[in-house]
Amino acid sequence: MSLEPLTLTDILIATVPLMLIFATLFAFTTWLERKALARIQNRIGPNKVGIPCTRIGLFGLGQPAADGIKMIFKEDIVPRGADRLFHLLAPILALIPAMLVLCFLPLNFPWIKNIQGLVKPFMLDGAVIFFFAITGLNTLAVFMAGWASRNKYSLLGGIRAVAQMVSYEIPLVLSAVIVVMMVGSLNAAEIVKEQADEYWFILSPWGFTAFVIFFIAALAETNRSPFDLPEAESEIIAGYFTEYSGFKFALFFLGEYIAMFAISGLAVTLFLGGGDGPGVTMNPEDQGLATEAFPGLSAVWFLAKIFALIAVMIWLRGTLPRLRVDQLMGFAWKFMLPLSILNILVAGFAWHAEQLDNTIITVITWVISFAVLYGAASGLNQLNRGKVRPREYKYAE
Amino acid sequence: MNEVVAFWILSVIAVFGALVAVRKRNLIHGVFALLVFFAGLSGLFLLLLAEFIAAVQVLVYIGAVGILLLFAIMLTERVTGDDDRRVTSRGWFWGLVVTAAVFVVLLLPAIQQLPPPKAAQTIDPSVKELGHKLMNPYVVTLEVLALLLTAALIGAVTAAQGVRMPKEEDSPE
Amino acid sequence: MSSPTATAPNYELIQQDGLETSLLEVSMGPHHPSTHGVFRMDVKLDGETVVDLQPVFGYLHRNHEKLAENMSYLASMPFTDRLDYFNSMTNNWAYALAAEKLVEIEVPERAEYLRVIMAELTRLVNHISLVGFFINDLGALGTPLLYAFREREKIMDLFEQASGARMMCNYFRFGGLRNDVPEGWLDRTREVVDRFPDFLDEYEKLLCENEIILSRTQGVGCLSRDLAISAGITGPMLRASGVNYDIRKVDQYGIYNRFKFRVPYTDDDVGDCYDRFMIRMLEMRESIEILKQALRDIPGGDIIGKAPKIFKPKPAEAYARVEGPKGELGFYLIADGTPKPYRYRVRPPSLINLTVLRDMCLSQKIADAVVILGSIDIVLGEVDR
Repeated sequence: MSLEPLTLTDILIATVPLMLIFATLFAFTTWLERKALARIQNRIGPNKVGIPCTRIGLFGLGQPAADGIKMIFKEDIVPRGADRLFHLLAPILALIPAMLVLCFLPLNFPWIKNIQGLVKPFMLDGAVIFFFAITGLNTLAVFMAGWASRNKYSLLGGIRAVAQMVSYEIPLVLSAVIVVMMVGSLNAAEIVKEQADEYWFILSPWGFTAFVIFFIAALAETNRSPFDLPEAESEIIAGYFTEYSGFKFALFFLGEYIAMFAISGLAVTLFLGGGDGPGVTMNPEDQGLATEAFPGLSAVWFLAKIFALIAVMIWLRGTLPRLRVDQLMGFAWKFMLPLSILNILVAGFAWHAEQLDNTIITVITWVISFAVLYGAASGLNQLNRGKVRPREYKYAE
Repeated sequence: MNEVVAFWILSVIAVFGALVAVRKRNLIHGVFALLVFFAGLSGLFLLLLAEFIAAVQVLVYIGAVGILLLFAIMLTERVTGDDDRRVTSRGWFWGLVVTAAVFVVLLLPAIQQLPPPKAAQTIDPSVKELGHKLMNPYVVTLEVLALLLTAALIGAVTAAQGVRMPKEEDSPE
Repeated sequence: MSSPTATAPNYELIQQDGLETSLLEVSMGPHHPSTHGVFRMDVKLDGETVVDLQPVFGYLHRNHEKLAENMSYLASMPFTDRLDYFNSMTNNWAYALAAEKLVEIEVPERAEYLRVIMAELTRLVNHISLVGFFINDLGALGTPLLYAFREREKIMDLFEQASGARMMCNYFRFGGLRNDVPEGWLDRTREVVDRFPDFLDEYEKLLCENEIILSRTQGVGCLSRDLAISAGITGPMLRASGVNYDIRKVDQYGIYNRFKFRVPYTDDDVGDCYDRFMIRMLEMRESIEILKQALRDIPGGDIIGKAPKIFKPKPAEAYARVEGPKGELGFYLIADGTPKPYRYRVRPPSLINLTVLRDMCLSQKIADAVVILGSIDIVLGEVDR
């Protein structure tokens, strides 16, 4: 690692395209989500707004732009009793950490290959821990918004958000720990390289368990259905952003989607092989920089995997009802936490077994760990289920 | 040069945050100002190439301690943070003395080594190294700390339950 | 530092175990996404738990009963549509029954059959949209609701073809119906009715064993049998609390004695939201049975009996009730010999079922309060009249 400091140009080359790309992807994702939800619900979805002044619809692809224009020109209303400063700061604070953590994703964009410097954006030594540290700030933004609005629904939403995010951060981090254990590094690029050399972690029993826990916790962290309690429409209107309108609301919206990208990106990095895929060879010497069939292929794979996860999120949103507060907490503490702790133990044993480099032992380890994890998951499920079951009904003639 | 500018910016942010945290009557504002101070501090750590410490600073102090403080405030009656009562400053003199004393004690190692030694030129900060340090020489300390925290956690849970039990019995239903 | 306390949440401090805690009083409604209209719940919360709940209604009061006392009998028929705007057909029927009791008009065979068909179609419309709204209150993003509305739309089309209006049908008359159904209507209805079970199968498969729905609804909003009876609860809600009581069976009004159908009910004394949801799902299947029989047996003939040109009943009293989709819908009329009723009174099932809201919601979570309200099945047009 050389000690040359980054120049301003390097920083700009690394960050500005990242922000532009993800802002564009955000716009596209809002369209995608509306369209997909509409299809799930037997509707058509946005299909009118296309190229201005023509009647070309372009499947409604102009909708995000139109929404954006509307948001900017909409009146910004601040409640009379609100804390004006915090009311203004909250959406900004919601957006900044989400944007910031994008830097830690090992996206091999072709233009960052030439940056020479101490810290390449994706080669930070503690990238994973930084990621968790900074996504945690989102909680503060949500609380700030809920508190500053001086609205009871907002306050309820803020309190719910804090409790939920803090609880789900634990299984989230514990499932990421498994990958860190297997690789022996917190460096995102190293993790990707390891997966390209060995196997994607989702393919192993402990990796799969960790991935499922991670994904569920990620849904809760980003307030996605079925964990969208802080903004539960049928209960507390819009939760912590009830009192937001116009551009501040748009910022919240943007922050939420960017956070979705970021956390899916981390899931891809940790479990789905990052930018690994056909036509990409990870270069062991160069810390995860890849040899690609054409420049940017690795980044394309990465984004494709992110979108696969986002698609699942949209699908779940269109399908599932919402959990209740106590069930949400129970699920985090009584199901996810014990399972992820057990998973760490299993992964530890599996790591030692793999060090022996014996095929038979490896196979046995895989089978046993699969059995243990499956048994634990179903056992915990039985313990937590309670007496809930379908019922029989009587008929009177 | 860049580092110096960054150092001053971060220092101003940190000192400003600390001052606001002390001066603000509104508890929630105070907490957020304290978090600004923590953020500035973490930036200073980053400037010292101690990226792991910086990350932990954000994770533990802003993420955990900040949320804990907010929770604690939410449990009190002043959840809206409004408090117009004036704080009586009776012991300000002794406070000043203690502050000065702490400051001097903190500076003592630096004063003893005057003139300051040349900054180390070859720093290779590594999370791995830190991990090995924690797991080899300091492992007992780490484990004892972990045990202590676990005991505290269990104690807290028991204490909380102990308060709640009689309440449930007392309730009319 | 000026933090305004005027608009800040109003906390009431109570002393409890030495720790000062406070209740949060939230006024849910009249503008709230899931109060099903302009309805307000004054909720006192301890954290997320409902400590007290006061339903407040009357925002939609339109003087329905007094209006009816100042116009001719027939003129209030279209107003009954607006009571429970999901079920205009059964509202019409209950009112027509009351008026027919006053003057004793014979209803032709074909009209009786069509009345049953319309009423059961209405029950399908009501239950399917209720289930959709109910799952929506549980937090599903409208998907089950829109599936339900797709089916509802087919029945709405049938209503439109028969009466000219989708919701405000105004189709019943004293002694029969306003007009006969158009040609081919019965065939189209048969088609819709035959297809409906497929949709129900799909819907049940999607919803009835969903883990989240089960855990959100079972044990939530329990209404005991005794409370249900003493509060005068009727309809699916009563049957979900374990009482086998269906006015179609008890009174056998119209020609309900000719059809073979069963009444689903529970016999355990739970009466939670899941029971209320499932009873409605099962009732739809029975409605389909009735519809199939009625569509098979329907004869030709007149559509309206011999009613007097000027409806001027002798002084008398009459109370008629039907098993509406929401419960017992009754009309009480006192005639004084003039063309206008002396007293006109509606027994609204929504309002009476709503009276137990507080009992069901106490010590549940705030999210449950919304679900419980959804499971009662109210329409504010009927509650406030």
